[in-house]
Amino acid sequence: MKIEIVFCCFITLFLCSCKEPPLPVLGEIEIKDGDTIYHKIAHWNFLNQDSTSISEPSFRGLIYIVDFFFTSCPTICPKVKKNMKWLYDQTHQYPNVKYVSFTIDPERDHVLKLRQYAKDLNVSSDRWHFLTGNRDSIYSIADDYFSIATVDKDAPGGFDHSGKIILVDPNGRVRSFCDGTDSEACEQFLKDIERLMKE
Amino acid sequence: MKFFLFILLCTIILLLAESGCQYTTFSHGKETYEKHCAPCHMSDGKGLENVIPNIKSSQVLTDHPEKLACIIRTGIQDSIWSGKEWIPKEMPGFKEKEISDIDLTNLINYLLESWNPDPTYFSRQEIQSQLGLCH
Repeated sequence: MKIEIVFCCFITLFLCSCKEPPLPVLGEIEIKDGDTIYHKIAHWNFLNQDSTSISEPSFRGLIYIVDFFFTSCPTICPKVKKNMKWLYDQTHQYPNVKYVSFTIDPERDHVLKLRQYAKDLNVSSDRWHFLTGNRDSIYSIADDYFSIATVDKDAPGGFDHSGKIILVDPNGRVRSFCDGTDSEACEQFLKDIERLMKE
Repeated sequence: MKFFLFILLCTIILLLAESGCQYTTFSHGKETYEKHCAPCHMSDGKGLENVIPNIKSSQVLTDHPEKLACIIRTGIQDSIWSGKEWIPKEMPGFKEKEISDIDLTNLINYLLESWNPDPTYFSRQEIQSQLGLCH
């Protein structure tokens, strides 16, 4: 009997020790007055496809997933969007997981165009915001998410940008990212989302 | 022993010949498709929801394949009414320097082979005749 109890305790301890460690906080870490300060996303405020003002602090307490795109992109955006839509469908049962797509071509991607795009993609503005606004502000925000957005006349479509999909935690810190053109990487990314939800 | 070596040599030659034959007009068309079309329409031709059309279920592919050459060469300039304004829905055209007539022929035959259940293939001359009728 004693041996059985010891064995059960051993198994319990083993299972507890198997708990996954938290996802790392990405970006520079600063130590200030003994406190650890992590990289955080700067405040932003843009219009979504419903012409509603959406700000970064409104995501506090929520997990959100970000990408940068433009609706007339002839290269990687459709593949990234297909994988984002897959993630969106896979997480439909989690009300605290939101999606944010910043256009890097705000002159052409105005509110009505983004509304049509969201409608064609069959997604709801309750869960997925397509944001437009001042171009320089959007490009500056891309840096904060460790992504890239620049005007490049030689690039297809006139813009150079990254196909990254980025995971942001309820405190506004970047916790993971994946190559949005790679379906297998996005499957792994879904596991990161679920891991973050357990923290 | 010599006979055995002869058989082995013949087998190797046959295997090499077979692997060389795998580069068909369709695999050439697939290469063009992957380079120019798959970024939007995806490798499986399914497109993206209602944003980018599904080629596999396209009526043009099954009912009017003779229109494919002009669609790919000149693109589609369309727009839809959002309720407040017209929103452009476009497909870019591909000029001859991007997709030559022979590449276009192989591409169209690849599309027909892949997604038309009852395909009729086109020669380069037929594709060039169709291009002559583009608006």
